[in-house]
Amino acid sequence: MGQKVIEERGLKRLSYGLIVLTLALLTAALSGVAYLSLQSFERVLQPRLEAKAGVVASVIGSEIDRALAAGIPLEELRGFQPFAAAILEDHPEILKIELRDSSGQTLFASSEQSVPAEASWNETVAVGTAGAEAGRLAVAVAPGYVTDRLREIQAEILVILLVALFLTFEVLLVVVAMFVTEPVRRLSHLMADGERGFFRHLVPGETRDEIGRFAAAFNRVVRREQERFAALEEAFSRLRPTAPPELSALMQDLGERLRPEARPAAATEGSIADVRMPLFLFFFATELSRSFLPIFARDLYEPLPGLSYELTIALPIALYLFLVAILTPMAGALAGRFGSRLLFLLGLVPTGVGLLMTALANDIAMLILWRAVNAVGFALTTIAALDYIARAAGRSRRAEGMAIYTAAFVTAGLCGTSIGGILADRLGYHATFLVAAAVTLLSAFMLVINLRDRGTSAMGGGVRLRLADFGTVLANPRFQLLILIAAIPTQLLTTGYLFYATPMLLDSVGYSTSVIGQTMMVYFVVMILMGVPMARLADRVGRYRLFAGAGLLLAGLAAMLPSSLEGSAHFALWVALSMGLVGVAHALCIPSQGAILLQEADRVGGDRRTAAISAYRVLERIGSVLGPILAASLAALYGYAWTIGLLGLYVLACGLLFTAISLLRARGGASAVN
Amino acid sequence: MRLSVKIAVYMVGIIAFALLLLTYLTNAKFRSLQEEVEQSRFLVLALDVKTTAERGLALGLTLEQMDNLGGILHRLVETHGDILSLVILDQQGELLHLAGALPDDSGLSSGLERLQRPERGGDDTLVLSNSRSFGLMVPLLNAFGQQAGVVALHYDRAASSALVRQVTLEQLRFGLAALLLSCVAALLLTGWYLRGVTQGFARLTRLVEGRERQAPVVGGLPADDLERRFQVVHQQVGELEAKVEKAENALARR
Repeated sequence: MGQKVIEERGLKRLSYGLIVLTLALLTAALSGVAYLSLQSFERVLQPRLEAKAGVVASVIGSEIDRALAAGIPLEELRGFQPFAAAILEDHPEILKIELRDSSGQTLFASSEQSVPAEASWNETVAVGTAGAEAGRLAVAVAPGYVTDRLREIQAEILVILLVALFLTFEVLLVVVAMFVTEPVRRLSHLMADGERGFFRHLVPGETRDEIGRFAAAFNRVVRREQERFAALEEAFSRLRPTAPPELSALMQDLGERLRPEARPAAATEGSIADVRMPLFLFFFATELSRSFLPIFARDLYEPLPGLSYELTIALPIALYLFLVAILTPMAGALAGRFGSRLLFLLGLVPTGVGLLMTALANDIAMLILWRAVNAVGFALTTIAALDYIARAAGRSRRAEGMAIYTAAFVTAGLCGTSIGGILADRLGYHATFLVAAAVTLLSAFMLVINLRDRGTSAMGGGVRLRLADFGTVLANPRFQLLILIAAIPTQLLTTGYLFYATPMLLDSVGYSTSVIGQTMMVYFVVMILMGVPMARLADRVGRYRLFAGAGLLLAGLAAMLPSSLEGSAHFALWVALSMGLVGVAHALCIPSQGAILLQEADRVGGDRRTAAISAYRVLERIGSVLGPILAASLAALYGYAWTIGLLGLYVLACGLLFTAISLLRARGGASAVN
Repeated sequence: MRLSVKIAVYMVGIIAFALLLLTYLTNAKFRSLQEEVEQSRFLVLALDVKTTAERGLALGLTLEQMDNLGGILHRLVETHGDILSLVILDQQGELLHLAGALPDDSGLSSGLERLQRPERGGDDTLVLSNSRSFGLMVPLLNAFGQQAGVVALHYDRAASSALVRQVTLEQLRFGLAALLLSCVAALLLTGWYLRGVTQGFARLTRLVEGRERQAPVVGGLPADDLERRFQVVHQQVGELEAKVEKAENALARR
């Protein structure tokens, strides 16, 4: 079985080719529709703009009529220029107004600027006294005004393209895996058996496509031989006492090769790719509110007994993260009882209900309650997905499985945050939660059609987390160092700055949720682009502590950027830059923290190694829970920009401490060796 | 369903999602732009009435005493067919001058109450909107900057709604046409692009079914790989069949 089962290069080429094809079609379709829509808008709006220009001209005309009636000659209306220029300030679509005499000669104009040849002129308003026309007003309407105004949504259109690009990657990789890679992998495994002369399994899931037809043909051959063998076996059983030894040996050999096995071959069961689409949709649904959740909480604020304003509006995020942290280890046991498919489906129920009820929430208490329900759903679903991946991937493909999980989460973060922002801007917060609930339903649908039940849990048989494991981790100085000055600050910055303070900060300076979503999206884009290369670089260099320290330092510095640039022009761009830099920093330090964790866990060794890792993962979430609470409390005193700066300063200090201790330890280790 | 069709369905799904978002986004922008243009056109007229009225107020006349205002309002309503009504109210909400027919749900009293709230700037314009009409309420200020009344203009949104409907339908047509073209293109291109894979598997199927003879395989596609390996499998099947036949013969002899 050591044989390579699939021509991987060919399959990769196939996926990338299909992605390129889709992107080409996508770009053509979007460009075409955008162009035609623009033409349509211009055609409809231009006459309306000209009508408006006519109204402006008539208003100016009535003033001129009044002046003429007072006996001031047309040629003496020297105040026309400032008067008309002041009126035009409120009407950007009007380029220029000219006062012309009866021969068409321009006497006065609102400005000296030249008007492009393609501008349309409205010359319908005449001025004069007692019915005698003394001259006319000519108003020039800007030719590309509609196009210029539509440029305001240029960034949003680019976001749609970017989201579609990542969606194409996500969906087509899944589709190629589902329809080509996995069926070929299954066939290939059975083919490997066949090459050794064993035909005990059939290819599961005969589809009606070309691969499925081949699988059916292959199954027919296997079935034919198995049926022949079954008939032989029946005849042989009647003869058995008198059968010659060579015939018995032959029958035994044939039995080993042809007797059908009730259980399908492990390698031919469901694949990791099956869970990717429902998982992506689930994450997408939960991420749709990322860009506005704190703003939504603030808008619904009503005093709650015993809770300060800051704590109350941070609670929907903080409680959610707290519940996810404490429920996730418990959900592991449920995976063993229900199986991952059923648990995933069960998890989608509180998720969908929570999102739906959040859409209907009209006070903060309801929001907190339904976010808590969502947290239950999140814990159940993510554990179910991880359990499914663990079993479908087996030990040999566990890293690939985790990569699929992370990719689904980060890509959904990117798509959900940006699209959620746009939807909230246009439809409102409540409606965006309704969309999220609908996407959860779609996820459940994909789950039902894609995922097969895989029996008992991989996690059920795993090492269970005990309270003593937390003690092991907390008593170990190496774990203490990693948790307190690396993992918790990283998590704290993620939830405190990125997920809580950013929407509040940008909203406070007047940016729309659409812009907030686009700004937050930068973090996810950078994580997608830099995550794997940085992790590979860290593996190659092998100095994980250096990478973890550098990441913390960069994250701290990046977070100090908004406070130092508060009030500057294009502030959202600076925040986006800060987000991008935090993304680079996290790409540097998060995989390295993981690698250090594995090294430290190896020191623990034995059967508690995995439990120590789980305990660490629970403990690091203290940072996630504290992030929004700390950010909200600090913001009440210093405002959001300075709060982010202070969080950055804290992370920077942790980074310096981590680097210093790591260097001292490295030097201590080296001198001990010397 | 053919492999290329299955994959094309997902490709078209992504394109449909992006088209839907793009159409929605551009349409929303068009609606707001169109509303802005319409509103600003009528605001110019309302502000012109305001200038005239405030000129009178500055001269010490009350709004009631300005007889010429009624004529101005009537002329404007006659000239601009979209205007449903133009009215001037005093601070108590009493209707002083009216041209046109005031819509049933004009919202004037609640609008006046909102305009009089202390937190509003004295010169703020209030926009009223319902399913059939749009309205603008512009406060009239006396020489001391105090509110003395309001100019209210209601205009019919039927023409504007018809335009929006027309453009939305056009956009839907463009979107559907683009989707249809993308669908055809996706089917053709995927079919063409996957022909190596699908033909390979079709040949492999014929080979398994014994409808085609084995030939040397060159290429890097999945079916080629499987076909190369199927040659060994085929040999194994042959050997196995020989063994089965041998066993059958042996049993038959017994």
